[in-house]
Amino acid sequence: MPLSMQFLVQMSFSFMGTIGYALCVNIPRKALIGCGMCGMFGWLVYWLMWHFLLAGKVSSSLIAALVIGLMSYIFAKYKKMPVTLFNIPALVPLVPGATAYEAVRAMVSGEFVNGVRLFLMTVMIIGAIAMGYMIAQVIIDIAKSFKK
Amino acid sequence: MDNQTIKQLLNTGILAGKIMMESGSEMYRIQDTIERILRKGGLSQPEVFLTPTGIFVTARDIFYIKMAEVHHSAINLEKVTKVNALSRQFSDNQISLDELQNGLRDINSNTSDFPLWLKLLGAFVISCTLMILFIGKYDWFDFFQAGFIGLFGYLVFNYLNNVVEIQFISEFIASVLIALAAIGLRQLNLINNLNYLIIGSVMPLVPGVALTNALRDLIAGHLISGLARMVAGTLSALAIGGGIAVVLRFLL
Repeated sequence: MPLSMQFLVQMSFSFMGTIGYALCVNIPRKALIGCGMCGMFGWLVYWLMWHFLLAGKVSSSLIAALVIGLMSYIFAKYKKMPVTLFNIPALVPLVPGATAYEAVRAMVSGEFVNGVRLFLMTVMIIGAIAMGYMIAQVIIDIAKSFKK
Repeated sequence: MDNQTIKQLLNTGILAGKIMMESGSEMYRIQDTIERILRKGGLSQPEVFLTPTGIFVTARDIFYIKMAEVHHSAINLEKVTKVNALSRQFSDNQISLDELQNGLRDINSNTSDFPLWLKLLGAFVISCTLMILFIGKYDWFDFFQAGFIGLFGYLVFNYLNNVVEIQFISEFIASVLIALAAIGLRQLNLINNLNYLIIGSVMPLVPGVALTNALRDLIAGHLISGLARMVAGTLSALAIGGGIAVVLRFLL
């Protein structure tokens, strides 16, 4: 598949996936587009880093979560709605579902060493997402203190 | 300030807190809202103690303390938004205390969920799009099958969640059924890759809200609720993983 096509697929699918999750947790209709945008940019950052900069999954997740934290704050200010609305669905594409599944799969088929390795990987990715989110919060707080 | 007003204020504050907690808001927002309502109503030093299973509200120099138990209920972020907006109107003098209380009751009983078909559509879209994103290969053959199995799993989960008291059980059963359905489709040669399909179709069940809120609470320093929500999220994840694992262990 040509690169432009890949880019388009990644973009539109992350947008749609985020909105799908937003529908399941009753996000107000006005915020849906903003949610989709946050999720899309977060995922694009992750995908670009992972594919083209050859960064690991953990560091890509960290930067992507940081971008999502900042973007959802901007959207929340712009739409005057709680930050959570934009944050929760946008983080869903970053959830390490595939890695977690592989861990379960390895455990079930008796490959314990591999299973533990994948499980630790999952935990590290979740930790990285938390870290990225935390850094975004810190940046926002510092920016606010300069504004005053 | 007479006792009647104080009682009404505490009742209103705790109602707002209860609605927000049950709809899955983060802690600092709930605390902020309750304190804003009490301060505006004339209790200058409110004291609020929040846990995920109960709320205590009082203020200095009064003899009342109000406590409410929080039941687990469906996540509905629209309610959070509405309560937030209403409490801001109250503190900007646009509405009175009575109007606030009535408005909160109205929000609690009349906020419309999205209709089930829209949620199912959401589950369909999550499953098929995230499957393609996660596996990194463009395998279009399984696209619609993943969507339908994800929709089926979410439907089962949604039904059981209203019937069974324990959320983890409904997640467990839903993921068992997802794995069974996926294996069934593979027996009929309708799908290419079982692993990718299961990864996609469990995504609507993933406890995203619980885990994100847990992290946010922990970062904000609400350690009790952060830990409680973290445990809830981890248990959900384990239930989903366990359901898949049981089926794969015995059928593959």
